[in-house]
Amino acid sequence: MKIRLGRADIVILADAHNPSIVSPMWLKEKELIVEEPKQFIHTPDFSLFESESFLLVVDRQRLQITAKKQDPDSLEKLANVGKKYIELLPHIPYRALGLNFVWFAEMDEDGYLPKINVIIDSINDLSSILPEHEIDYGCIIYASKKPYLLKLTINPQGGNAIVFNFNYHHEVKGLEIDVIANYIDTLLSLYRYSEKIVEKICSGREEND
Amino acid sequence: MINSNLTMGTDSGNIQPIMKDRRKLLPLEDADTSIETLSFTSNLNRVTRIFIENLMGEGIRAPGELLEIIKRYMKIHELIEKNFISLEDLRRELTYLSKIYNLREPSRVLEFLRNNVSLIPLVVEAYGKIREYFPQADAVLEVITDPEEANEELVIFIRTNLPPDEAFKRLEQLDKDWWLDASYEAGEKLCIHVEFTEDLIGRSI
Repeated sequence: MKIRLGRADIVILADAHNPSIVSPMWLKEKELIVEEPKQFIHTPDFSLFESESFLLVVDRQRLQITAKKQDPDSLEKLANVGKKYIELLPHIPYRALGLNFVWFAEMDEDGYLPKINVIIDSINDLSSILPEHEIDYGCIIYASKKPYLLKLTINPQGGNAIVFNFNYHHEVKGLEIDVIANYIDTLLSLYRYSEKIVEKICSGREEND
Repeated sequence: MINSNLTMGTDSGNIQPIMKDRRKLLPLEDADTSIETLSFTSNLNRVTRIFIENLMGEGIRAPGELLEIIKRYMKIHELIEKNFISLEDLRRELTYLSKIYNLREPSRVLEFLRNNVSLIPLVVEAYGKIREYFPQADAVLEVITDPEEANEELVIFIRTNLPPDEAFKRLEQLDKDWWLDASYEAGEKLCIHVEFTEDLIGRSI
Protein backbone atom coordinates (compact mmCIF):
# COMPACT_ATOMS: atom_id res chain seq x y z
CA MET A 1 0.00 0.00 0.00
CA LYS A 2 1.18 3.49 -0.87
CA ILE A 3 0.36 6.56 1.22
CA ARG A 4 0.67 10.03 -0.28
CA LEU A 5 -0.47 13.56 0.44
CA GLY A 6 -2.91 14.69 -2.26
CA ARG A 7 -3.35 18.30 -1.24
CA ALA A 8 -2.80 20.81 1.53
CA ASP A 9 -4.66 24.07 2.05
CA ILE A 10 -5.07 26.87 4.50
CA VAL A 11 -8.57 28.32 4.75
CA ILE A 12 -9.14 31.56 6.65
CA LEU A 13 -12.69 32.78 7.20
CA ALA A 14 -13.35 36.43 8.00
CA ASP A 15 -16.27 38.82 8.28
CA ALA A 16 -14.77 41.04 5.59
CA HIS A 17 -11.84 39.94 3.50
CA ASN A 18 -10.84 42.49 0.91
CA PRO A 19 -10.34 40.73 -2.45
CA SER A 20 -9.79 44.04 -4.21
CA ILE A 21 -6.30 44.42 -2.77
CA VAL A 22 -5.16 40.92 -3.61
CA SER A 23 -3.61 41.67 -6.99
CA PRO A 24 -0.48 40.06 -8.48
CA MET A 25 1.35 43.34 -7.91
CA TRP A 26 0.32 43.56 -4.24
CA LEU A 27 1.34 39.93 -3.63
CA LYS A 28 4.74 40.65 -5.16
CA GLU A 29 5.29 44.03 -3.52
CA LYS A 30 4.50 42.63 -0.10
CA GLU A 31 6.64 39.58 -0.83
CA LEU A 32 3.73 37.32 -0.04
CA ILE A 33 4.05 35.38 -3.31
CA VAL A 34 6.85 36.67 -5.51
CA GLU A 35 6.32 34.17 -8.31
CA GLU A 36 4.86 35.40 -11.58
CA PRO A 37 1.14 34.72 -12.03
CA LYS A 38 0.06 31.97 -14.41
CA GLN A 39 -3.60 32.96 -14.06
CA PHE A 40 -5.28 35.73 -12.15
CA ILE A 41 -8.60 37.46 -11.70
CA HIS A 42 -8.76 40.59 -9.65
CA THR A 43 -12.14 42.15 -8.75
CA PRO A 44 -13.69 43.82 -5.68
CA ASP A 45 -15.63 40.68 -4.69
CA PHE A 46 -13.39 37.87 -5.79
CA SER A 47 -9.72 37.41 -6.62
CA LEU A 48 -7.86 34.39 -7.88
CA PHE A 49 -4.11 34.04 -8.29
CA GLU A 50 -2.25 31.00 -9.55
CA SER A 51 1.54 30.73 -9.70
CA GLU A 52 3.87 27.79 -10.07
CA SER A 53 3.66 26.88 -6.38
CA PHE A 54 0.40 28.35 -5.08
CA LEU A 55 -3.26 28.90 -5.79
CA LEU A 56 -4.89 31.66 -3.80
CA VAL A 57 -8.62 32.37 -3.97
CA VAL A 58 -10.33 35.00 -1.87
CA ASP A 59 -13.86 36.31 -1.62
CA ARG A 60 -15.31 38.50 1.12
CA GLN A 61 -15.76 35.63 3.54
CA ARG A 62 -13.16 33.07 2.65
CA LEU A 63 -9.50 32.91 1.74
CA GLN A 64 -8.10 29.62 0.50
CA ILE A 65 -4.39 29.13 -0.17
CA THR A 66 -3.38 25.83 -1.74
CA ALA A 67 0.15 24.47 -2.11
CA LYS A 68 0.48 22.93 -5.56
CA LYS A 69 3.38 20.77 -4.42
CA GLN A 70 3.07 18.69 -1.30
CA ASP A 71 6.64 18.31 -0.04
CA PRO A 72 7.54 19.65 3.44
CA ASP A 73 9.42 22.62 1.98
CA SER A 74 6.34 23.71 0.02
CA LEU A 75 4.15 23.28 3.10
CA GLU A 76 6.49 25.51 5.09
CA LYS A 77 6.19 28.14 2.37
CA LEU A 78 2.41 27.71 2.44
CA ALA A 79 2.38 28.41 6.18
CA ASN A 80 4.54 31.50 5.62
CA VAL A 81 2.11 32.85 3.02
CA GLY A 82 -0.83 32.34 5.39
CA LYS A 83 0.99 33.94 8.30
CA LYS A 84 2.22 36.88 6.32
CA TYR A 85 -1.25 37.51 4.92
CA ILE A 86 -2.82 37.96 8.35
CA GLU A 87 0.17 39.96 9.60
CA LEU A 88 -0.14 42.34 6.64
CA LEU A 89 -3.88 42.70 7.20
CA PRO A 90 -4.29 42.61 11.00
CA HIS A 91 -7.41 44.80 11.02
CA ILE A 92 -9.56 42.16 9.28
CA PRO A 93 -11.93 40.43 11.72
CA TYR A 94 -10.85 36.81 11.25
CA ARG A 95 -13.31 34.15 12.37
CA ALA A 96 -11.88 30.71 11.76
CA LEU A 97 -8.82 28.95 10.45
CA GLY A 98 -8.65 25.57 8.75
CA LEU A 99 -5.47 23.62 8.15
CA ASN A 100 -6.41 20.91 5.67
CA PHE A 101 -4.70 17.79 4.38
CA VAL A 102 -6.00 15.16 2.02
CA TRP A 103 -4.17 11.85 2.14
CA PHE A 104 -4.63 8.93 -0.21
CA ALA A 105 -3.89 5.34 0.76
CA GLU A 106 -3.69 3.38 -2.46
CA MET A 107 -3.53 -0.29 -3.13
CA ASP A 108 -0.11 -1.31 -4.34
CA GLU A 109 1.28 -4.58 -5.67
CA ASP A 110 0.71 -6.02 -2.20
CA GLY A 111 -3.06 -5.67 -2.81
CA TYR A 112 -3.69 -4.54 0.77
CA LEU A 113 -6.05 -1.83 1.97
CA PRO A 114 -7.38 -1.55 5.52
CA LYS A 115 -10.96 -2.63 5.96
CA ILE A 116 -13.34 -0.11 7.47
CA ASN A 117 -16.12 -1.44 9.68
CA VAL A 118 -18.89 0.42 11.45
CA ILE A 119 -20.21 -0.66 14.82
CA ILE A 120 -23.40 0.94 16.12
CA ASP A 121 -24.08 -0.22 19.66
CA SER A 122 -24.29 -3.97 19.35
CA ILE A 123 -24.75 -3.98 15.56
CA ASN A 124 -21.44 -4.73 13.94
CA ASP A 125 -22.67 -6.07 10.63
CA LEU A 126 -24.91 -3.74 8.67
CA SER A 127 -25.48 -6.33 5.99
CA SER A 128 -28.17 -7.79 8.24
CA ILE A 129 -29.94 -4.42 8.10
CA LEU A 130 -29.24 -3.85 4.41
CA PRO A 131 -29.55 -7.37 3.04
CA GLU A 132 -28.70 -7.92 -0.65
CA HIS A 133 -26.81 -4.62 -0.75
CA GLU A 134 -23.20 -4.16 -1.64
CA ILE A 135 -21.85 -2.18 1.32
CA ASP A 136 -18.81 0.09 1.47
CA TYR A 137 -18.09 1.78 4.78
CA GLY A 138 -16.58 5.18 5.39
CA CYS A 139 -16.66 7.33 8.49
CA ILE A 140 -16.36 10.79 10.01
CA ILE A 141 -14.42 11.28 13.23
CA TYR A 142 -14.58 14.45 15.31
CA ALA A 143 -11.64 14.80 17.67
CA SER A 144 -11.27 17.87 19.84
CA LYS A 145 -7.95 18.96 21.31
CA LYS A 146 -7.29 22.61 22.10
CA PRO A 147 -6.90 24.74 20.09
CA TYR A 148 -8.50 22.80 17.25
CA LEU A 149 -11.36 20.52 16.37
CA LEU A 150 -10.26 17.83 13.94
CA LYS A 151 -12.82 16.52 11.49
CA LEU A 152 -11.42 13.44 9.82
CA THR A 153 -13.46 12.05 6.96
CA ILE A 154 -12.47 8.61 5.71
CA ASN A 155 -13.91 7.58 2.37
CA PRO A 156 -13.34 4.41 0.39
CA GLN A 157 -12.60 5.13 -3.26
CA GLY A 158 -13.66 2.38 -5.58
CA GLY A 159 -11.96 -0.47 -3.77
CA ASN A 160 -8.55 0.76 -4.86
CA ALA A 161 -7.93 3.63 -2.49
CA ILE A 162 -9.06 5.31 0.70
CA VAL A 163 -9.20 9.08 1.06
CA PHE A 164 -8.41 10.65 4.45
CA ASN A 165 -9.60 14.22 4.62
CA PHE A 166 -8.24 16.13 7.64
CA ASN A 167 -9.73 19.49 8.64
CA TYR A 168 -8.01 21.05 11.67
CA HIS A 169 -10.57 23.73 12.44
CA HIS A 170 -9.58 26.61 14.75
CA GLU A 171 -12.01 29.20 16.07
CA VAL A 172 -10.03 32.47 16.02
CA LYS A 173 -12.66 35.16 16.52
CA GLY A 174 -11.28 37.91 18.73
CA LEU A 175 -7.83 36.39 19.02
CA GLU A 176 -4.62 38.39 18.63
CA ILE A 177 -2.86 38.11 15.27
CA ASP A 178 0.18 36.57 16.99
CA VAL A 179 -1.96 33.73 18.32
CA ILE A 180 -3.50 33.04 14.90
CA ALA A 181 -0.03 33.14 13.34
CA ASN A 182 1.14 30.59 15.90
CA TYR A 183 -1.75 28.32 14.91
CA ILE A 184 -0.73 28.61 11.25
CA ASP A 185 2.81 27.78 12.30
CA THR A 186 1.61 24.35 13.38
CA LEU A 187 0.86 23.42 9.75
CA LEU A 188 4.00 21.36 9.32
CA SER A 189 3.63 19.52 12.63
CA LEU A 190 -0.05 18.80 11.89
CA TYR A 191 0.95 17.55 8.46
CA ARG A 192 3.35 15.08 10.10
CA TYR A 193 0.77 14.18 12.73
CA SER A 194 -1.86 13.52 10.07
CA GLU A 195 0.59 11.34 8.16
CA LYS A 196 1.25 9.38 11.32
CA ILE A 197 -2.49 8.91 11.88
CA VAL A 198 -2.97 7.61 8.33
CA GLU A 199 0.00 5.26 8.69
CA LYS A 200 -1.31 3.91 11.96
CA ILE A 201 -4.83 3.44 10.64
CA CYS A 202 -3.47 1.68 7.59
CA SER A 203 -1.18 -0.56 9.57
CA GLY A 204 -4.01 -1.43 11.95
CA ARG A 205 -2.01 -0.34 14.96
CA GLU A 206 -3.50 1.49 17.92
CA GLU A 207 -2.39 4.94 19.03
CA ASN A 208 -0.39 4.35 22.18
CA ASP A 209 1.76 7.42 22.53
CA MET B 1 -17.12 19.04 -16.30
CA ILE B 2 -18.38 16.45 -13.85
CA ASN B 3 -21.32 14.51 -15.18
CA SER B 4 -23.81 15.71 -12.62
CA ASN B 5 -26.76 13.83 -14.10
CA LEU B 6 -25.13 10.51 -13.71
CA THR B 7 -23.66 10.16 -10.29
CA MET B 8 -24.10 13.43 -8.43
CA GLY B 9 -25.03 12.82 -4.82
CA THR B 10 -28.67 13.13 -3.90
CA ASP B 11 -28.09 13.70 -0.21
CA SER B 12 -29.23 16.94 1.35
CA GLY B 13 -25.82 18.54 1.63
CA ASN B 14 -23.51 19.44 4.46
CA ILE B 15 -25.96 19.04 7.30
CA GLN B 16 -24.07 18.55 10.53
CA PRO B 17 -25.41 16.26 13.23
CA ILE B 18 -27.39 18.25 15.77
CA MET B 19 -27.27 16.00 18.80
CA LYS B 20 -27.40 18.23 21.85
CA ASP B 21 -24.09 17.13 23.29
CA ARG B 22 -22.40 17.73 19.94
CA ARG B 23 -23.47 21.34 19.58
CA LYS B 24 -20.56 22.68 21.59
CA LEU B 25 -18.07 20.55 19.73
CA LEU B 26 -19.01 21.27 16.13
CA PRO B 27 -18.26 24.47 14.27
CA LEU B 28 -21.23 26.45 13.01
CA GLU B 29 -22.37 25.56 9.51
CA ASP B 30 -21.21 28.89 8.09
CA ALA B 31 -17.79 28.45 9.67
CA ASP B 32 -16.70 25.41 7.72
CA THR B 33 -12.97 25.64 7.06
CA SER B 34 -12.70 22.27 5.35
CA ILE B 35 -12.27 21.99 1.62
CA GLU B 36 -15.41 19.87 1.39
CA THR B 37 -17.67 22.84 0.79
CA LEU B 38 -19.61 24.26 -2.08
CA SER B 39 -16.65 26.38 -3.13
CA PHE B 40 -16.46 24.78 -6.57
CA THR B 41 -19.89 26.03 -7.65
CA SER B 42 -19.61 29.40 -5.99
CA ASN B 43 -16.14 30.11 -7.37
CA LEU B 44 -17.12 29.00 -10.85
CA ASN B 45 -20.27 31.14 -10.75
CA ARG B 46 -18.23 34.16 -9.72
CA VAL B 47 -15.68 33.65 -12.44
CA THR B 48 -18.37 33.11 -15.07
CA ARG B 49 -20.16 36.29 -13.99
CA ILE B 50 -16.92 38.28 -14.14
CA PHE B 51 -16.18 37.08 -17.66
CA ILE B 52 -19.74 37.75 -18.86
CA GLU B 53 -19.72 41.25 -17.35
CA ASN B 54 -16.37 41.84 -18.95
CA LEU B 55 -17.64 40.67 -22.33
CA MET B 56 -20.86 42.69 -22.11
CA GLY B 57 -19.27 45.83 -20.79
CA GLU B 58 -16.79 46.84 -23.40
CA GLY B 59 -18.68 46.85 -26.68
CA ILE B 60 -17.99 44.89 -29.82
CA ARG B 61 -14.71 43.01 -29.90
CA ALA B 62 -12.59 41.56 -32.66
CA PRO B 63 -13.02 37.78 -33.13
CA GLY B 64 -9.38 37.16 -32.17
CA GLU B 65 -9.82 39.03 -28.90
CA LEU B 66 -13.02 37.11 -28.14
CA LEU B 67 -11.21 33.87 -28.74
CA GLU B 68 -8.45 34.87 -26.33
CA ILE B 69 -11.01 35.74 -23.64
CA ILE B 70 -12.78 32.41 -24.14
CA LYS B 71 -9.47 30.53 -23.98
CA ARG B 72 -8.58 32.32 -20.74
CA TYR B 73 -12.01 31.55 -19.30
CA MET B 74 -11.58 27.87 -20.18
CA LYS B 75 -8.16 27.76 -18.50
CA ILE B 76 -9.54 29.30 -15.31
CA HIS B 77 -12.60 27.03 -15.48
CA GLU B 78 -10.25 24.03 -15.62
CA LEU B 79 -8.17 25.42 -12.76
CA ILE B 80 -11.23 25.86 -10.54
CA GLU B 81 -12.58 22.47 -11.53
CA LYS B 82 -9.29 20.84 -10.61
CA ASN B 83 -8.93 22.59 -7.28
CA PHE B 84 -12.44 23.04 -5.96
CA ILE B 85 -14.49 20.15 -7.21
CA SER B 86 -15.90 18.47 -4.17
CA LEU B 87 -13.82 15.46 -3.26
CA GLU B 88 -17.06 13.67 -2.54
CA ASP B 89 -18.32 14.19 -6.10
CA LEU B 90 -14.98 13.18 -7.53
CA ARG B 91 -14.93 10.08 -5.38
CA ARG B 92 -18.35 9.06 -6.64
CA GLU B 93 -17.32 9.53 -10.26
CA LEU B 94 -14.09 7.60 -9.85
CA THR B 95 -15.83 4.84 -7.93
CA TYR B 96 -18.31 4.46 -10.76
CA LEU B 97 -15.55 4.42 -13.39
CA SER B 98 -13.59 1.79 -11.53
CA LYS B 99 -16.69 -0.40 -11.52
CA ILE B 100 -17.38 -0.24 -15.26
CA TYR B 101 -13.77 -0.26 -16.49
CA ASN B 102 -10.82 -2.46 -15.67
CA LEU B 103 -8.02 -0.18 -14.54
CA ARG B 104 -4.36 -0.90 -15.24
CA GLU B 105 -2.20 0.71 -12.57
CA PRO B 106 -5.34 2.07 -10.85
CA SER B 107 -3.57 4.76 -8.83
CA ARG B 108 -2.01 6.20 -12.00
CA VAL B 109 -5.34 6.21 -13.84
CA LEU B 110 -7.16 7.80 -10.91
CA GLU B 111 -4.44 10.42 -10.50
CA PHE B 112 -4.66 11.27 -14.19
CA LEU B 113 -8.44 11.67 -13.95
CA ARG B 114 -8.14 13.74 -10.79
CA ASN B 115 -5.92 16.09 -12.75
CA ASN B 116 -8.18 16.03 -15.80
CA VAL B 117 -11.65 15.95 -14.29
CA SER B 118 -13.19 17.36 -17.46
CA LEU B 119 -12.47 14.01 -19.16
CA ILE B 120 -14.57 11.99 -16.72
CA PRO B 121 -17.99 12.49 -18.40
CA LEU B 122 -16.47 11.59 -21.75
CA VAL B 123 -14.92 8.42 -20.35
CA VAL B 124 -18.29 7.47 -18.85
CA GLU B 125 -20.10 8.19 -22.12
CA ALA B 126 -17.47 6.24 -24.07
CA TYR B 127 -18.27 3.13 -22.08
CA GLY B 128 -21.92 3.23 -23.22
CA LYS B 129 -20.92 3.81 -26.84
CA ILE B 130 -18.33 1.02 -26.79
CA ARG B 131 -21.00 -1.33 -25.48
CA GLU B 132 -23.16 -0.54 -28.54
CA TYR B 133 -20.41 -1.55 -30.98
CA PHE B 134 -18.60 -4.17 -28.89
CA PRO B 135 -21.26 -5.69 -26.62
CA GLN B 136 -19.04 -8.54 -25.43
CA ALA B 137 -15.76 -6.68 -25.03
CA ASP B 138 -14.06 -5.59 -21.81
CA ALA B 139 -13.06 -1.96 -21.55
CA VAL B 140 -9.72 -1.13 -19.97
CA LEU B 141 -8.29 2.23 -18.89
CA GLU B 142 -4.55 2.78 -18.93
CA VAL B 143 -2.31 5.84 -18.76
CA ILE B 144 0.35 5.71 -21.45
CA THR B 145 3.36 7.97 -21.70
CA ASP B 146 4.41 9.12 -25.15
CA PRO B 147 8.16 8.45 -25.06
CA GLU B 148 8.94 11.13 -27.64
CA GLU B 149 7.02 13.99 -26.09
CA ALA B 150 6.85 12.73 -22.49
CA ASN B 151 3.12 13.52 -22.53
CA GLU B 152 0.68 11.30 -20.73
CA GLU B 153 -2.58 10.23 -22.30
CA LEU B 154 -5.43 8.07 -21.12
CA VAL B 155 -6.21 5.17 -23.41
CA ILE B 156 -9.43 3.16 -23.48
CA PHE B 157 -8.53 -0.31 -24.73
CA ILE B 158 -11.45 -2.32 -26.08
CA ARG B 159 -10.41 -5.88 -25.34
CA THR B 160 -12.12 -8.06 -27.88
CA ASN B 161 -11.91 -11.55 -29.30
CA LEU B 162 -13.45 -10.49 -32.61
CA PRO B 163 -11.37 -11.15 -35.75
CA PRO B 164 -9.13 -8.11 -36.39
CA ASP B 165 -10.92 -7.09 -39.62
CA GLU B 166 -14.29 -7.05 -37.89
CA ALA B 167 -12.90 -5.26 -34.81
CA PHE B 168 -11.26 -2.50 -36.85
CA LYS B 169 -14.41 -2.11 -38.96
CA ARG B 170 -16.47 -1.56 -35.83
CA LEU B 171 -13.91 0.83 -34.37
CA GLU B 172 -13.97 2.86 -37.57
CA GLN B 173 -17.75 3.02 -37.40
CA LEU B 174 -17.58 4.15 -33.74
CA ASP B 175 -15.13 6.85 -34.82
CA LYS B 176 -17.41 8.10 -37.58
CA ASP B 177 -20.65 7.93 -35.64
CA TRP B 178 -19.49 9.44 -32.36
CA TRP B 179 -15.83 9.65 -31.36
CA LEU B 180 -14.52 12.11 -33.97
CA ASP B 181 -16.96 14.78 -32.77
CA ALA B 182 -16.94 13.81 -29.13
CA SER B 183 -13.15 13.75 -28.83
CA TYR B 184 -12.80 17.40 -29.82
CA GLU B 185 -12.99 18.49 -26.17
CA ALA B 186 -10.52 15.86 -25.03
CA GLY B 187 -7.66 17.19 -27.12
CA GLU B 188 -4.87 14.66 -27.13
CA LYS B 189 -5.49 13.43 -23.61
CA LEU B 190 -7.84 10.56 -24.39
CA CYS B 191 -7.95 7.97 -27.17
CA ILE B 192 -9.58 4.64 -27.95
CA HIS B 193 -7.85 1.55 -29.31
CA VAL B 194 -8.76 -2.08 -29.76
CA GLU B 195 -6.73 -4.75 -28.04
CA PHE B 196 -6.99 -8.42 -28.86
CA THR B 197 -7.36 -11.00 -26.17
CA GLU B 198 -4.58 -13.52 -25.71
CA ASP B 199 -6.87 -16.32 -26.96
CA LEU B 200 -7.16 -14.63 -30.30
CA ILE B 201 -3.48 -13.79 -30.53
CA GLY B 202 -2.73 -17.46 -29.82
CA ARG B 203 -5.14 -18.59 -32.53
CA SER B 204 -3.91 -16.13 -35.15
CA ILE B 205 -0.30 -17.14 -34.59
